[in-house]
Amino acid sequence: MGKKNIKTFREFGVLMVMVVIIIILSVVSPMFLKVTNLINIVRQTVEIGIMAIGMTFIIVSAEIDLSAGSIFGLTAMLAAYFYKAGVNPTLVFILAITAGAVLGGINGLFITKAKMPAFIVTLGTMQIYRSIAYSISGGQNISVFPEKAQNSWVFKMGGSIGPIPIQVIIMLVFFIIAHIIMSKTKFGFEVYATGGNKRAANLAGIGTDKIKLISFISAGALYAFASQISIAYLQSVPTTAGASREMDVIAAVILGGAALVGGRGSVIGTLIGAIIMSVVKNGMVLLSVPVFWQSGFIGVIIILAVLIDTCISQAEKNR
Amino acid sequence: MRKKLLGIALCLAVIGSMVGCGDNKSSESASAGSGSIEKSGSEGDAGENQKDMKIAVVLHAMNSSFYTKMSDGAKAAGKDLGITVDVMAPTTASNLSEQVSLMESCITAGYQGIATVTWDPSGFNSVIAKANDAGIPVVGFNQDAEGCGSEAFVGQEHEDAGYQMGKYMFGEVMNGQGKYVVASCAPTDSALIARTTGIEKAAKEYPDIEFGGVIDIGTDLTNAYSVIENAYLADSEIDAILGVDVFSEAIGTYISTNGLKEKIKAAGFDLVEGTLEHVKKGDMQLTVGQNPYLQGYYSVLDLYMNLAHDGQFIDVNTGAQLVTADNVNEVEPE
Repeated sequence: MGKKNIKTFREFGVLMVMVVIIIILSVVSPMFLKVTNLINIVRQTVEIGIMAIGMTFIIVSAEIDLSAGSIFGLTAMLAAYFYKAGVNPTLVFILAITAGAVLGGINGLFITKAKMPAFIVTLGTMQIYRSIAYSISGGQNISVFPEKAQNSWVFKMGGSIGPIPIQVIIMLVFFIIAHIIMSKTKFGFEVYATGGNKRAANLAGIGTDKIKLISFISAGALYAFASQISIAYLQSVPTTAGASREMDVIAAVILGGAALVGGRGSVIGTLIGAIIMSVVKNGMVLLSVPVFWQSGFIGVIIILAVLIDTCISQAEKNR
Repeated sequence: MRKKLLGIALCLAVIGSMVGCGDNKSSESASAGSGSIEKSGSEGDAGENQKDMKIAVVLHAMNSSFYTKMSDGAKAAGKDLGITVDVMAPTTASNLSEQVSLMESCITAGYQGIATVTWDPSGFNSVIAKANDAGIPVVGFNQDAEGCGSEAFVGQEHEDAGYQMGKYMFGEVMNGQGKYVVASCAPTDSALIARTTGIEKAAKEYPDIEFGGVIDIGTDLTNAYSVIENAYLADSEIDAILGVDVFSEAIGTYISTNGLKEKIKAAGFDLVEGTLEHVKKGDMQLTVGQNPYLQGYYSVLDLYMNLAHDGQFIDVNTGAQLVTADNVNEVEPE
């Protein structure tokens, strides 16, 4: 079986898990397949999904980013501050995305230039970025934005075209672009090579540090983009924005078949992983799963899904 | 290969059975409701057309016994009224996106009414509008966001509660002089800001009372203890620490552990067992209750009265109960 087929088969395994969960939920809850519910599920996937694209690049290149939620929170707070101050919304949007890229780049620089472990660097920046967000807001939630901002195209991202939320369309465009980058471009190949075997990649002339730095910068920009969608939709930025979100993002990537040791994973798998997370959370409401069991339930689904994926991979290897 | 496939099949079976468990629980909840319907029906309470009524109670956190009390109150109302009440909360405390997503799921899940903790000034506006468009009324409880679109608010008047705490501590306990700090688990939370404002308002009535700032103790008791420890080490001139939330218990623990009850006066909010114990032992002089059980109960009742009997929504003030060494033995932990 060729490389491409193995990869397709692996995504099929994750997809199968999602389909089984969907079938079970459809059978036990008549509400599940209602169009409005399905639209809700996809909308609820958007922020985690877009952030998870960035995290996929990082994890496939054999790194990790614990500061994702804090970058989300800081760029959201930064933008909210300027939106509130009446600054041109397009300018604020560009500023937020740039800030996200810079914050991601700082992570990348410490990891590639100072040779520090990503876990340590991003654990530190997670706290630093969160503190900066608190300082910007003065410890207050920022909400009730001026009309100038609310009427701008940036805030229109929170709206819908007919029944379809615009943010869903944006997310799908991001996934298509990211999929093309990961599977069809030299850069995508180099990301896999960097995570698969860094030494061999270096010997082959791949600038692995550069690949990692670009991955962190891109991821930072994507976290920031997700934060702008959040502002547009919720019209409010609590100081807790994005707190602990990195865990959901990492879970979506791992659910999607990525290996934490790097070299394995795909954008399509990540999309499926993110959807699984949303489907499970939605299913828990529809099925009235007791509140104390909801986190545990998500944990069980993550472990089972990855277990199934591992079984399929092993079966394929042994064939 | 066969073993692997068997393993996969087993995994899928476990997923299926777990989802099934969730469904059974729902049925259990409904049947518990049905049981109450029979009883209530005989008393002329819930009618047949109400027995399918489903109300969702969306909390903002579940990491304290205080929140469990709100949940207990809501469930008890469901049982008394013979309707289904499902309680849910985000997996991480005060996660706006997740709480909004939960509410969206409730709208499509066919709940007739939603009670939720509206802790963000405007973050719930759009989802409440969505619920209203779908004909689903929303009642806010515990924390209020003015203008969010909810039909009513059930909970404490936070600024007044803070003021009452301040008056008691500055007047009765500190005799009008000394320096105090406010310990808050979420300095950005609108309800806690209102309580702090109430405390500051009371402080203005005492010229020799000095405000030393707000310390963020977080939502973990171990972390809260450390923050309080650091704050006191940094400024041993502090005469009182006033907590504004359920994590005030950590203040009493710090004072008790370090034998500081003669040096530091303390107060807090909510009637959790640990805080009450500190009041009994004299580590803390006051804690203020807000009746979380009734907040949960009345939120459901408010929705039920409207949905079943077309009753008008009403705001309910669940009060500020001052608990000191004098009456602590008469109070049940929440």
